[in-house]
Amino acid sequence: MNYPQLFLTTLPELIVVLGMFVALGFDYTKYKELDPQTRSNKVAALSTIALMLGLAGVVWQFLQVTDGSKTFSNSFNGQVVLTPLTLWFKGLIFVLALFVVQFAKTDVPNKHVSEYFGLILLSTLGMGFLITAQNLIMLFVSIELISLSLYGLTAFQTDKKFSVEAGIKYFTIGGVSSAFLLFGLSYLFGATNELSFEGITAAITSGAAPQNYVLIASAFLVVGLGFKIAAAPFHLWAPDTYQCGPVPVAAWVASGSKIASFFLLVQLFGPVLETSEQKETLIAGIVLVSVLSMVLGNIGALRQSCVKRLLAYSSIAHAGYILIGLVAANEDGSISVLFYAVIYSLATLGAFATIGIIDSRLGREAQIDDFNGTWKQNPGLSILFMIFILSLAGIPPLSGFFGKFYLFMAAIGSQPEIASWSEGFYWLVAVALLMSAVSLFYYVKVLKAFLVSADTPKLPSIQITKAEGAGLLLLAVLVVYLGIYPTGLVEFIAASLG
Amino acid sequence: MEITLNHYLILSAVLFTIGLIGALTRRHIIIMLVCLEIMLNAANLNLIAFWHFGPNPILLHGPLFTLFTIAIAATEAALGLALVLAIYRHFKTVDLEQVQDLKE
Repeated sequence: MNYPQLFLTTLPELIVVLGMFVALGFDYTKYKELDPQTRSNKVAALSTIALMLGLAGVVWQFLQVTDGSKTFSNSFNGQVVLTPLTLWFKGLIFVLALFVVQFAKTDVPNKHVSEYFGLILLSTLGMGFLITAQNLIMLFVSIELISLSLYGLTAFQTDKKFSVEAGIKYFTIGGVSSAFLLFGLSYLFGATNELSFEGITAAITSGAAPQNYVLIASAFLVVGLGFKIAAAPFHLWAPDTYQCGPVPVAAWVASGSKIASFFLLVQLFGPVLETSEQKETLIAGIVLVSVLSMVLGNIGALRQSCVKRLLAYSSIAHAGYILIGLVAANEDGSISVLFYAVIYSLATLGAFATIGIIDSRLGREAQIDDFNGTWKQNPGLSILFMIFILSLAGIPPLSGFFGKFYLFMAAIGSQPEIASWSEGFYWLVAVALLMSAVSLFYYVKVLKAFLVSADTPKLPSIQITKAEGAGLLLLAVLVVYLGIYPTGLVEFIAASLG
Repeated sequence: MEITLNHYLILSAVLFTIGLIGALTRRHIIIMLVCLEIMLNAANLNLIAFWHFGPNPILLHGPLFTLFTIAIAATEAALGLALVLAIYRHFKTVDLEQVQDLKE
């Protein structure tokens, strides 16, 4: 075991863990007598510093890896593999976590301030490790690190009945999904006798692995990961969790854990889908999940009046869209999945953060009616919210449009010889387009309340903190930038995936 | 009778099914936690069986993975029990049927 290299490889995570313990220690001793809001600001500042130093570590590793002066790759039997792509996504997770910490600090659920931020940091680490993991053990450990932190965070408002109820629902459904995932992983191990992705891919592509084991493993993995990405029919936890957990936590569940899970999905299923003999069966299964998610998600969102619940159903629908890129089963599909996961996360984090700000000022859950005439009092906030929602709806020139465009083109392009619309994936893309049109209805309903509703404004003028404002603005700029100039990111993903 | 890999796989599939049916139908949260453990242990049994009957049992891949999952199952149970306590404080019951205040 090469300890200096182990140290350098896990440097960002070590910094963040250290920062978490410093924050916990200060909160238990020096800040003990202060009121919760002051403690929250101080602990959030410590967490921010830790995340920034961790991010600097990731950037340092990224620079080292890209100019080839130092390699961290394939270290420790694939437990932590650092390539430009994994480092870029890990950096993105750290950046999103920075935003979440800023949004979380103004509205801490109760007096356990440092545990709240500690759990956010722990789930960040889990997501980072999940992205860099190329080994089944590390994969399962990091998925559980994410899930257990998020169960805790969802039920964090222990004095509120609904928060605890959402937590236990999330926990029971998540626990079953973890068992499915582990059962699938055990069959994957049985089929290939390997734990590293490299070995598994080699065994599957060479045909050495028994096909029936691979099929059982894939079926269980689809169910297990379907829960994690909130795809129908495994989506039942999502609306309650998003609605009743603390809002920054809901934003974090919807953005960070989605990116990490989709990254895993692409890495795990990419090789299986491209070469396995069971390709047809597996693709049929994923198509079914995708169609169900799009239909149930969008139809469910139509009748919601609570905005958080509406966004929860919309996230189910988006999981369906993203799976279309996966069934394309080629490199274009993988690229489009990763690209869409990024831009979806940015937009949904922004939307949840805006609602979180409004919720905390209202002191209760915001309904769509509450937004009537917000435009007059809070023009800045309304414009930012409009950017996020329109990107989710897929309106050009925002990034959501190009994300969907790449997904659908990948699915159509995967079978170039087919001409009739009823064959191949044309019908799937047609369903997706139809459902996008349905989704416009509820997105526009929210925007209408914001912008054109003639009633007197229910919301007072909202003061947002500098950190919140900067976070929202930066997210909106990223959403717009990736819409106007998507090729940069797409080419980077394509170059580093191949 | 010689015991082969398939015997173990069938046993673990049966265990997993028992756990799944229990987790889906039983309404007592503690029983549900037990069922989750049964499901995870079915997967552990798979890992050990595949390792034992696999081509290279010297590598210890199976037991290594199993040790990690046993630890994770323990943490999951701990978190579950903490949630059960929180639920009991609010609802004065641990029956999931009655923990249904959230409406559509």
